[in-house]
Amino acid sequence: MGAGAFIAKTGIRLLGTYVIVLMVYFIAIRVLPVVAAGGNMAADPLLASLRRTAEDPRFSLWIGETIKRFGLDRPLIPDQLMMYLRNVIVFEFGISVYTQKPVMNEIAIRLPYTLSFYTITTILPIVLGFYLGITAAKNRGKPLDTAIIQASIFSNMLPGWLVLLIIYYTLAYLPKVMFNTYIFPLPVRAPEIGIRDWDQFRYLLWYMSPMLLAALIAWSGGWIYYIRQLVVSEMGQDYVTTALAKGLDEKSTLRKHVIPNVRPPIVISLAYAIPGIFGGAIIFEIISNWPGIAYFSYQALLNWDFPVMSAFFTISAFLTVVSLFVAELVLVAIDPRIRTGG
Amino acid sequence: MARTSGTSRIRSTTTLALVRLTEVLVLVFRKKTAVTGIAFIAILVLLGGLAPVLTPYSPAIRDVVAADFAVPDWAAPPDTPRNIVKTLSGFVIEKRVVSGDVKINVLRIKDGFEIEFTGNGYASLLLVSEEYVAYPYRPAKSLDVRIAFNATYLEGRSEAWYNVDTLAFNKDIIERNEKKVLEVLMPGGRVAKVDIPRGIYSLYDVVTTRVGWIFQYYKGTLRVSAAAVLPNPMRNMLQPYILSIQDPELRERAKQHFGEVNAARDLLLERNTRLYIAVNVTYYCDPMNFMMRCQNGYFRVSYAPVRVFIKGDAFGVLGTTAYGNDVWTQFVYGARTAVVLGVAVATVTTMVALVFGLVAGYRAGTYADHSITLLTDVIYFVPVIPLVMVVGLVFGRSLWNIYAVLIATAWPGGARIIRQWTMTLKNSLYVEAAKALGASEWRIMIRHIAPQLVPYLVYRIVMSVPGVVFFEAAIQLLGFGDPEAATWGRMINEAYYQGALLMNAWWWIIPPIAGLIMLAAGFVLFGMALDEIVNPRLRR
Repeated sequence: MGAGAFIAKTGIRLLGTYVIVLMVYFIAIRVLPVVAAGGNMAADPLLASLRRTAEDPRFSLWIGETIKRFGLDRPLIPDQLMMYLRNVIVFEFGISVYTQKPVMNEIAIRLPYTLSFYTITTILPIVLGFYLGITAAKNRGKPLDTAIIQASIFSNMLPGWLVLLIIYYTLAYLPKVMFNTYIFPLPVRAPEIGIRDWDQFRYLLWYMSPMLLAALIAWSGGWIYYIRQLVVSEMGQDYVTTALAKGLDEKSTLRKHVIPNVRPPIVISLAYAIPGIFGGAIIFEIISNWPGIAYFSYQALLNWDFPVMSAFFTISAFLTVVSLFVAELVLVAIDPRIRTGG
Repeated sequence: MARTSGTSRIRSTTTLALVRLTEVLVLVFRKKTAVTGIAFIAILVLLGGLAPVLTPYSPAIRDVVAADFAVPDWAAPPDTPRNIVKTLSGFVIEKRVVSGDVKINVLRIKDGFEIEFTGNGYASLLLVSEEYVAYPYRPAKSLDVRIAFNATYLEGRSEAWYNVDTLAFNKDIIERNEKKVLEVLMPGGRVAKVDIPRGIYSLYDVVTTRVGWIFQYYKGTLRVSAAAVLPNPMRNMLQPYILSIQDPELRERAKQHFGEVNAARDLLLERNTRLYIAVNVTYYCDPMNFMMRCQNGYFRVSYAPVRVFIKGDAFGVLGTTAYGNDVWTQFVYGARTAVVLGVAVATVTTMVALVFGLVAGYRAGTYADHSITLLTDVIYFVPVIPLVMVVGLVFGRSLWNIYAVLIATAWPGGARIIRQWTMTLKNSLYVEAAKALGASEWRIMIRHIAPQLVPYLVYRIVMSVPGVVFFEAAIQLLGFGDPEAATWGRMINEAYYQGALLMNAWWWIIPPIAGLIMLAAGFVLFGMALDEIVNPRLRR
């Protein structure tokens, strides 16, 4: 099996799972309440959320039109399910009940915030984990190794949001309340993404720094521990002994022999860690008032905006699928066994 | 015959597994880190288990014990207001004004009082509580007075006018005859002075409070049961004084200005003074007044004892929240919920994982195995936090919904590992023997393979308890948790959104965080010690 076949197979598997996830979601959230209410269509959360809007006289006419236009009065299965799946493929999630604008436009505005933060918080901890893990493995048995392991266990124990909360309390609110100075900004006014001028960019970095710090503290630990264990077990292999015996120094052995062998399992576990990171990033956004899609959906949910919530769920699943696909592509690039079909 | 021997064999397998578990636990107790972890867990279990003994209050929002943001008792200077609760039951007549032929009949003066007025004319009685509230601290933020009285007319006899005005007054301040002078800057640079008498404040006045209603109940009985809370969040202005200002412009200015006056702190309470409750009952029946049409009127008021509650700014072990709830109570009950529900949900999740893992492992490569793998993949793609948010929207925000979502999405990790263990264990000799004896598949899985997994299951449960508690807390922090659950998560949620960080209410924000960290540390240390013993690979 070559690389192309592997990618195609992975893609089909991921796409299939994605569609099943969406169907399960639809049945659990749209169909189940209706079934629980004895087949009463009024229990459909989407209609319920529209009805709440219709209580506002400005929108009462608009509602009937919307229900007709989007076919919300048709049976849930199979008509609306098929419609939902089709809409997901073309990224069409209807109109936000709350802002009265197409959901996809609203999300497109906010996606850069989420993606930038999500990417950085995925990559930074793994980079730190890689270096500290290898450092610990090199010094295994020494006090440095023990210290790193202890720190990583402690770090792995704490969830990111708790660390973020502690950082905000000790380094943002406490200095502000007690000395009227800022070490980190209060999570109140989020900056805009992009580089307009230096001041704006500096504020962006400053605003992000507590979030990144928390992500580093809370999410590096697992990687440090895992990579250290991988490297230590790899270094006990025969090929390392051979490399050292033929006169290669330890640094070159690590770089040329050990690290290439360690990379594929790291990528695989990264793929499995992605949903957790994404969930953590959602909580971060809401705590930090970071105006990404999670924060927007949170606001929408407080206003019973079901279309936005639906879109948020779908896009979250989609991002997970895409991340996993990227991880598999990286795996193809770095693991020769997949490329050659060995 | 074969069946009996099979049963005895099974018993011995189970016993062996239990013996193994005991051995593991004995080994665990030899490790210092594990003992630390167990000590942490034990402290939390004790706190949670003894919760009703440790605190007389409930963690619910309605159980208000002191002022909002009260600091812990031990951290406050001695002049910080503490809770003062006193019931004033005896009242004596201090002043009596009668004109015309009004007959006043004092029916009962113990335990509150009851007064009857009959006849035409005007009468006014000022009754003052016999006892007083001695106030030794600096002015407190709030004063809570519960009053209750019935005012009765007899049908058809009377259309008299009356008023029952309950006053709080501080004798010492009044004797000093002090005033609070507020300077109001008028347009044109003129400074107008408004004097407010200190030491007296009208808590509940029938006429001004219910002026719109007074004609609706002039027959029958008016039942008043009022909580006069100062400062009154609904009308914090010093209305009677402001309304008496003649100059309309000055009145408007004064209205704006007096919005900031805290009646309890600025007018009534002072260190080392005496606070009394007074009731002023007024009766007026004039046959010559054609508006009133009153002839030989009748009016009776029965007044219950008054409960005075001065909310302290320092309270208890850990102070209070923004709603005035006891933080210590919430912390202790939070420990109870965290340990009980944490272990319960972790156990259920692990049991679900066990069932799926056993089936998938025992029938590896079959249709059942493949469908479980597919299910695992599907669950892996479900974004859990958005799902919890949607479930909260559709099915309601309850603890059980959150835990249902958690159990449904958390089992695949454990199931994958149990599947692999089962795949190796099912080739063991004792499984072969059980098969040969004719044991069914389920029997082999549950009675022969599962007991071998017990140490791993215990490890798994212990290691997933922090995750369960943290998950609930995270959902609470997002605002989608159960608003009535007694959990640390709800404490964090309330603290974060009710300004504990801005007010630097460390006594409120630190306990739940510390509790969460302690719980996680306890279970992780214990679990890691278990892991080293259960997985010999790591024992070096």
